[in-house]
Parts: sequence; structure tokens; C-alpha cells
Amino acid sequence: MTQAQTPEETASNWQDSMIEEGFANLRRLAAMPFIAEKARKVKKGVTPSEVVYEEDKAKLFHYISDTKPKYKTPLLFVFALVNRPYIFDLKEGRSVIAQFVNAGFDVYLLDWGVPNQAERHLTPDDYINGYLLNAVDYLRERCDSTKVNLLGYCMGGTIATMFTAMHQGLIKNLLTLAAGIDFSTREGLINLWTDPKYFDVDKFVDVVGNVPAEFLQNAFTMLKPVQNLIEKPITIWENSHKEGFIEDFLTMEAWLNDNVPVPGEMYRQWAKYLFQQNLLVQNRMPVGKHIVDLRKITCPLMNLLAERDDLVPPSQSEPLNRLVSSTDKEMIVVPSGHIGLSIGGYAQKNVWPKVCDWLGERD
Amino acid sequence: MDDNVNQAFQQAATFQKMWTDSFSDMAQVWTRYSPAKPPPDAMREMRAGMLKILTQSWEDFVRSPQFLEYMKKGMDGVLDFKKLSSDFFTRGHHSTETPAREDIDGILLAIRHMERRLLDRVEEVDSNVSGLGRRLDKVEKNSRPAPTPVPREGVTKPPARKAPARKAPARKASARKAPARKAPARKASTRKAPVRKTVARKTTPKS
Repeated sequence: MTQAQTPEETASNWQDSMIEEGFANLRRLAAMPFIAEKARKVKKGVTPSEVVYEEDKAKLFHYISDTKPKYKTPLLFVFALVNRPYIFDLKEGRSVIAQFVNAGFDVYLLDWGVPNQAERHLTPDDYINGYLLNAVDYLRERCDSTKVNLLGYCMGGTIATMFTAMHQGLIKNLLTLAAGIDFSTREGLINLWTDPKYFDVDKFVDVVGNVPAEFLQNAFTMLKPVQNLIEKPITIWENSHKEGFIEDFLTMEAWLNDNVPVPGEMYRQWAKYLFQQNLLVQNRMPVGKHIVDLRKITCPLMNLLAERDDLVPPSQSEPLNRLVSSTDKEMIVVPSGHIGLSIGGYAQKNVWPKVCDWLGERD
Repeated sequence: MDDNVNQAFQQAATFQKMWTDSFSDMAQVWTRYSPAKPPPDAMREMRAGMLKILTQSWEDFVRSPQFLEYMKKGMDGVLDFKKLSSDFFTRGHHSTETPAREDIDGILLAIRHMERRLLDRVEEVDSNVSGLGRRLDKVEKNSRPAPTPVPREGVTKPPARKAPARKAPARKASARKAPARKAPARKASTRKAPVRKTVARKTTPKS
């Protein structure tokens, strides 16, 4: 039991803590002028890579390893269209790609590129049955493999799932990270804001064309404005003098603010068929001439969810495991947020080595 | 008109109550203040408590039907204004006989439709050629003379069997439904030779 402090002790504690805080503030102040310099040095991607295939603006990156890959089947990473895919390879010690490369996989990443107004008519069909299918075909040819492993994150997870359902014969193993599947849930604010009662997607796309990156950026900020606009600046200030904090923070911020516009038609179909009509879980999602039927997925499935995900709540991804026909399926719930699922310390230490083993066993 | 005014006042009152409650809860956090703690720590604790309440209030606010209604009206207003300004500029461009964005969009859409039609045709031709190839293979296989067996002594040669009349294989209706692979057509024209250039790190174009 703590004894009550005498007034003298209290005064002394106050004095000590105020002096300590004063010095800490001086150290923080001294660190400020170097922030701009550190921001200029932020790197995007750490693992050496080469571009092996290009189509329009899409680029397929191959990650180079010093050693020969241990596993034959290539692994293809697919990311969302709203941000840049270098989140997979953010920095040393925070790279999902490095984990797989070091584990002996032959790793590739498909970067969709940045669309302009000329590409406003691109649809999910162009991305899934166009760019992605061509990249997969190219990989099969290049690696002399009949199938590839596919890993999709966020919107990329949904894209990878749809692709597998339409081209199951080309996919050996499917890995999804925070992939939106069941959009009926109203846990996530995006789902609520895109409700047809409050959001006329046709009018929006007809007027704006491509959905501007700033619009998406503001929408993401407004999901957690207190954290993004109040807590974040305070955290920067309070930790600015700590070794490595600013570098980590700036790298993360650089990625968070690196949004890209989404082609209008892609956005229209995505919002309408998924967010508003929830057709994917009903096996009625149209993609070009196809109808996506999740029951056609028979390959091994690894579904990773983030427990505290405010963008794609776990309830949105969980149904995938019961909707596919695969017999070999697993789900891991990671105690993290949407981004922490890939680059968080817990995921890097405990989740990704396990996922590498899982994939290696099924090569 | 009165109904609208009443509704607006009611909505304002709901918001007012929500935020008044929130600020009152935030003020209550200060009742937990203890002078025994050093001021910086106590301040951090109070701040965390206040921000927690503010986060919860914001969550309630953005989920309220009133906010969603305001959001819809706000967005409609912005879109209407953008459309109006876009129409104005289009008229301006047309009056000076220069193309407006709308015209360029129209051309792009026309190209896209043409591309789709062409790809559909290419796909059809592709499936026809594959069908022909299959038929040719079968014809070649059947027309190849079978090796003549050497008659053994004392073995009677069986009478030659008449080959059954072969029907031309019916064209698979599903061939057209096969995965719409724009890819082969596109691939041939757009795939660039693999770039063998090794870069130290991934080059990412600026957004």
C-alpha cells in the first residue's frame, strides 16, 4: 500500500518531473530541424527488385535473392488500387516481401500504376481478367510452372479471391489479408457511408470521372479524425527525440499519403456490386462476362484478418472460409490494425514466419 | 416550409445535445485529477481520457442518420456545382470550337467500345481457329495408314472393319463462354520485352 505523500515530497516530485519534462521538451525541440532532412531520405521499398513485365501502366516486379529459390511455384503479391503496393516492402524489419524472399520463395509484385483520366473506363474485368491474368500467364511461362501462389491484401485480397474463383486452374495456393468479402456488415464506416440511401455512386462517378486520391485520403482520415488530427501530432512531438521514431513515422506517413486515384468505372462497379449490393457472397458478382462463384475455389486458403481493423472489419473477411470449397483452409486473426497486419512488429515476428511455413509445405 | 424549419431545428438540437454531453463528459475527466501525481503525468492521463471520449462522440456522430443526411446533401451540392461549372466550361469550349473534357471522354469511350468489339471478334476467331486445329488433328490422325500386320502362318486375317462415318465435331458453344481472355490479344500487342534491367530498389512513379 502506498503511503500518502507529505506536502514536501509532493512538491519535490513536482519539481523533478517539471525539470525532466523541460529537458525532454528541449530535446524534442532540438530534433525538429532534422525532420525535413529525414523526410527527404525516406525510402520506398528495401528489397532489390527488377521490372520483368509491363502492360500499359501495370508493372510486374521480381524481387532478387542472393540464393536460388527453394520453392518452385512463384508467389505473386497483389495490392489495392487506392494506395501504392510498397507497403509490402516498407523498410528493413518491416517487409513482408523480405520474409518470403528469405524463406526461399520466388517473389513477384504487381503494381497497377497510377491511372489518369484516359483510364477512367477501366473496370474490374480489365484488372482481373486483363492485367492480372496476363501477369499470371507471364509468370507461368517465365518460371515454367503450371500454377502460381497468389497473395492479396485489402482490395487486392478481394481481387485475388475473384481471380482464383474464375481461374482456379492457375492458382496453387491463395493467401488473403484483410480482404473484403461480405459487405453487408455495418461495422466499418466506409460500408455505412456508401449505403445507397446516402451515396449516389453513379452521379459521383459521372461527375468526377476518376475518384481523386485526395477524396480517398480525406475519407480515410475521417474514419479516425481524433487519432489522425489530434493524437498523431502529439505523438510526433512527444517521441521526436527518440532514436528511429521519426524515421519509422515518416516512412509510414509517406505511404499513407501516397494515395492514387481509382478509375471511375472500377470504383462504380466496386461500390455498387460489393458495398451496395453485396453480390460476391451471393455468388452473383459480375466481372466482365463472368459471374464470380466463390464455390469454385478449391485450392488451399490462408485467410489473415486484423482484430482491430477499422477499414475492413474481421466480420467482413471471415465468411470467405465457409464460402469456398477448399478442404485445406486456415484463418489467422492477428491482434493488430489494418496496416499492422502486414508491417506490425507482432505480425513480422509471429505471423509471417508461420505463413511462410504454411506456404512452403504446400509448394 | 414550417416542417422543414422544424426538422432543421430538431437536427441541430440533436447535434447540440450530442456534443454538449460529450464536452460535459470531457470536463468530468478532470474530477479524476490528483495533485499527488506529477503534473506532466497527470496531464497526459487527463488528455487520454478526454480524447477517448472525443473519439467515442465522433464515432456516434458520424454514424447518426442526421450526419449521413447532411453528408448526402453536402455531396449532392458539391457534385451539382461541379457539374454546373463543367457544363459552363464545356459551353465555353464549344463556342470557341475547341474540344471540352466531355468530348475527350466521349472519344475515349468510343475507343473503348471499339476495343471491346475487336477483342470479342478476336476471341471468336481464336476459338474458331482452335476448333479447326482440333478437327485437323483428328482428320490427320484418322487418315494416317495403320501399320500392316505381318500375317502369321495358320492365322486367318479378319475382315477389314469399315470405319464408321465421322460427323464433323459440333462446335462447342461453351468455347465462347470460356474465360474472356482479352489477354492473348492484348498481350501480343502490349507486352513489352522483359526488362532485364536490375535496379537497386523498386522505382515507383510519383502519384
